[in-house]
Amino acid sequence: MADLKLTNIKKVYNNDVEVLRDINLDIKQGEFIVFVGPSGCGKSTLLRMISGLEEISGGSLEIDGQLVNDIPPAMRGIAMVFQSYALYPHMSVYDNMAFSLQIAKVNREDIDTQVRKAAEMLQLTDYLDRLPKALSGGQRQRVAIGRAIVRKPKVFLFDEPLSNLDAALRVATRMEIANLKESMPESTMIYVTHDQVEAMTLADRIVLLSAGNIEQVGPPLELYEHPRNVFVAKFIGSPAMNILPAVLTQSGASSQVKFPSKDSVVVPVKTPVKDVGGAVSFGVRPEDLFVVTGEEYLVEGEIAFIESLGEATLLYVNVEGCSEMVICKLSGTPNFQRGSRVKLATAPEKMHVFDTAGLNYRNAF
Amino acid sequence: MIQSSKRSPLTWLMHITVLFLVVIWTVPTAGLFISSIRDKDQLSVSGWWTALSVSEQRMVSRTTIPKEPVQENGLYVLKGNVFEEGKSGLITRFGASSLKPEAFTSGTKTELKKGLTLIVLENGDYVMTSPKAFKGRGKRIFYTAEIPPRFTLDNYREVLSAEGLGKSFINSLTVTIPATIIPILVAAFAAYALAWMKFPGRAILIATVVGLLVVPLQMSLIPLLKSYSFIGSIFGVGSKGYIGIWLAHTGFGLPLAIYLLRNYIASLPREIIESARVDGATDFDIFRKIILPLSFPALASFAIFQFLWVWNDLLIAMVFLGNSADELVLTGQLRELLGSRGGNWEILTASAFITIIIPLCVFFGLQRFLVRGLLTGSVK
Amino acid sequence: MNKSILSTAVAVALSASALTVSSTHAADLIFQPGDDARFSWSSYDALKSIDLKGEKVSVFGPWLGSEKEHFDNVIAYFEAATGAEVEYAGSDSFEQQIVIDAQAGSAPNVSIFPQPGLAADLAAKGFVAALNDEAKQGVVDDYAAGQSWVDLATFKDDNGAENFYGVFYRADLKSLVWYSPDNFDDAGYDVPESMEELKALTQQIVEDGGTPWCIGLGSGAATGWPATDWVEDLMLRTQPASVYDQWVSNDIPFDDPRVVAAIEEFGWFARNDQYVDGGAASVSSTDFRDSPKGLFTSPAKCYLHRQASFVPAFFPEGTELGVDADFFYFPSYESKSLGNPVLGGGTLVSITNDSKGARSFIDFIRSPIAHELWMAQTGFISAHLKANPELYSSEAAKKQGEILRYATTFRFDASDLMPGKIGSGAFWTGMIDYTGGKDATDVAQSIQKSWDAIK
Repeated sequence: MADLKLTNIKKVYNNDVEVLRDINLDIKQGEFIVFVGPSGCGKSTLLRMISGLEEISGGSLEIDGQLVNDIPPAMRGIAMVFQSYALYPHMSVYDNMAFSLQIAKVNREDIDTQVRKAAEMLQLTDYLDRLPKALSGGQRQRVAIGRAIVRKPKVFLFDEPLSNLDAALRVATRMEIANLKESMPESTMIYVTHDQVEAMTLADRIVLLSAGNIEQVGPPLELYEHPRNVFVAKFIGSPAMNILPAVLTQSGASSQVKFPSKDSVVVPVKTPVKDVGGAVSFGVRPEDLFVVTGEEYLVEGEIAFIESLGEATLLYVNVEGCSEMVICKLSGTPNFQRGSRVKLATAPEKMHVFDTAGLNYRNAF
Repeated sequence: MIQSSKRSPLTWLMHITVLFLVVIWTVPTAGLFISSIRDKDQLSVSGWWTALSVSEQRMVSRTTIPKEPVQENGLYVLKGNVFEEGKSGLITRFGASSLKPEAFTSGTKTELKKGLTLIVLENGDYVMTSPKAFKGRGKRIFYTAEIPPRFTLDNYREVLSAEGLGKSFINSLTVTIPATIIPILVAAFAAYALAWMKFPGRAILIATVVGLLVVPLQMSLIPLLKSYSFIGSIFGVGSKGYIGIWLAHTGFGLPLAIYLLRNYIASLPREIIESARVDGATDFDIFRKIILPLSFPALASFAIFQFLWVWNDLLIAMVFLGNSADELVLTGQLRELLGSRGGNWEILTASAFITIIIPLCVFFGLQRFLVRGLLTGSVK
Repeated sequence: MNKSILSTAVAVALSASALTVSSTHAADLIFQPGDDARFSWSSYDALKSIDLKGEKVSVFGPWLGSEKEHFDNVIAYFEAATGAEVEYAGSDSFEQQIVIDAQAGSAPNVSIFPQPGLAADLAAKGFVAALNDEAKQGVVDDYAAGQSWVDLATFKDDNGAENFYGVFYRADLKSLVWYSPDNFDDAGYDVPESMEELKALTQQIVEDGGTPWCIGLGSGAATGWPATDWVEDLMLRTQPASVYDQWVSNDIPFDDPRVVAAIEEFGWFARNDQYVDGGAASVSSTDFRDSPKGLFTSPAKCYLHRQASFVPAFFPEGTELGVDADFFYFPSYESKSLGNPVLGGGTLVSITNDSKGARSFIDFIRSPIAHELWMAQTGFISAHLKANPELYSSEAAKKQGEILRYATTFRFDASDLMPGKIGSGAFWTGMIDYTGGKDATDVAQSIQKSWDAIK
């Protein structure tokens, strides 16, 4: 049992700067939760509050049903892997991993067994006698993880553990963390990152934070397919979802929106009557757009840039009445000319419409 | 070669300046050392730079009169050697009067007053004859000798035993070692608390410590000794003694120690300490197992500072320690020697060299801890 | 690892110091009590009635090296008789140290002042304990010219009342000229009987191609003091003692023509390049401890050296007093009938931290046995009348003792009696200026100015 229950968690610095507001979250045992969000959204602070390194200003934090607000980190049954590894530079890999057990006065043989087991799991057995400075970045990160494993914690906390690694290593280590999770299905893991790819690949559930609030909680695909609001829609997915200003012209089970440059488009989304005539945001993911030649299109514009990525091609299209360029992601390397005009269309179920407050109408009804 | 020819004049100027400074700094020390191992008679007549050359000395010796007079060919004969035991040289000239100490070449037999004759050979052997029996004090023989350079450890032997330097050496160590360790320990604790533990008034405390740095110790010496004697009298402790000087040095060393160590400890990566905290370490564990080992460079550099400062201190020792042999430190002993043996260069140079040996050892011993990159591999 | 090395070192250092502390047992008695009938053993036996077991007496003075050894030997008798534990410490910077200790309240029980002026300063601040009338009467009775010794040790206390503060223990005789009898023999010179003869001898030596005098004023921070002795001696030889007293108390100004004349008299010797070894310029730079060595070099750098009775300590090793080196009284002018004045000094033993042991120690110091015990060693002259002169270790010392005891006029070193700012300040530096070529009147005027400033 290692459930976490966050109720109305608040963090206030110096009595007036509120960095986290009313965070409510239930985490079940064995879940892999990823906190994701832009820098400064408070995701690391939230993690540090769970770890006990940061004081909780308001609300309650329960682990296994026990209120732990004022319990020191070591007693919470958690282990943390830091962004900067935070290895003890003067201790060998073995001692780094054994440190917490030595502090806990575990007997020597047990320490040895645990450390060796963890080392084997992380392929560190050959490096046990080395000092951290003699290790590569990936190895150091593995030591940091090993240090967490030997404690057999109820909850693993990862604070952006991959951000110091180069791209190739990052992918490899990400896989390792995924494997690790698989090998320890009963342990709960909370993982903080600003990289949505890590979030999408690793998480059972993603907690998307922005400016001290939870924007949406859910499995990765749910966030992708059913973003609750414009922020989530733009944050998840790369390149980000295209958001076009529009006016709602007809409500009902199937609504109509009108772009400045074009006539109304039918959207299979329910909208309330009171919003008719008001401004809305129309969203569509770049990978859901395709080029058409007929009259059944969504928007039309001039190609400003072409980015060929090999497996895909990105078209940046200037659409009249839109301040931002519309991005269209096409697979393969189709032949397009800069400056030529294209018409873009999408499937109706891929269309999103957000109200003036940025909420997705799909979720509202 | 190509590279060296390309060096700019500025580089050369820099090299020459460095060389110049090195020479300026080392020559006096070298002179001190050479002087301290020279024979004291040679030291008093020529400078240390002539240490390797033969020195010409003018000396006086007195004949010794045997108890049983020796007679040869009807004349009383006196034989001996002008050199003291263990010394030798080459006699070039000799004389029998202070007015003409170089009257004759060695090896020539000369007639003196009252029928006396004297011959001094190159190796110092002399023969004096007289028609009458010798009595009273011996006659003086003046001679000029070329003495080969002689190096000896006698000077060191003398200062360490007879001049009481050995005892003061131990006294200095007795003062210095605790007076270095105590402030380091106290300061390390304080520095950790001031850097990583949150408690009200922390900022003011740091400001106070830094402010204490500007208090000149000369100003506080007498009041401090007064209060120490007062408190000491309550506990029946004398007003002068080792405990007093340890406390005094600790007090005077602490502000700088805390300031230096706090800055260093505060610069250690926060994650390491947090990581230890998550691992279950208490503040004391963190201090002992993480902070202390990682602060070694700072501790070592402060230890060098404090050790040298205490070792070379005269003022505080003068105030807080008595002048008896059991409490006189090296610097104090050296000062006393300057007064009582001010003319004996062999004593002063040897003493001075003994006093600088320990600081040199400490510096070279501890400087290997002043390594950079101790934190490598910890973060990033 | 390193920590354990350090802690071992501490332990070693501590135990080493503990060892030596415990090893300072009473020194052996160098003369078995009762053996040599010339000693006044009765005063030693009298000490035994005082029980000071467990009492500690700290004594602080200026004596170091062999002088400390001699004094430790004397102290051993006090310890043996009374059971007290006496710890003597000597320092070359006694003058500074005693002021610090007195101010901080950590003064030793007994202090031995080389300068009565310093004791007067401390007495005026209430740091010195006055002695009782019995001690005072003892000094009057037992010392040659006892009243004058009492007067020299009578100062005002912090309330302005005059008290008797100390006993003079070891006297210094300053009016001595040292020479090498052998060199005098070789050159055929005779010991001069008067100042006129001394001056004639000086000129004679120069005519013979030699250098008559070795004069060195160097003494670290105290550089200049040997010249003050010269001037004081010459003052006593050119003016009546009453003028000298007025000079000491500044009743006549320092720039009085009579004082200036005495300074110029010194200049006759010291400011003549031909009269001084190394030339007049080297006078102030030569160390006073080095200058007497010139008498014994080959060839001799000089023939004469005027210095106090302590100077044999700085003769080359193995110099035998009375044979290799000898002295004569720095003579007075035949033309001026001022008698044979003697300039001297002495160390004043006072109580700076009152205790029963300190009082007894002072009583011991003014008893004849304390004087005899050091006389029988070396380097001690006593003005104590009951101390047996037969015990002087050398003829030279005995002769000095006699000069002191039978002096027609004895005067204490003026610079030691003048206020510290003058006696160990302006007077010293003034003398350096004078030997450096400054005019005597100017020098005297500037000294007087400093004196005016502290009045």
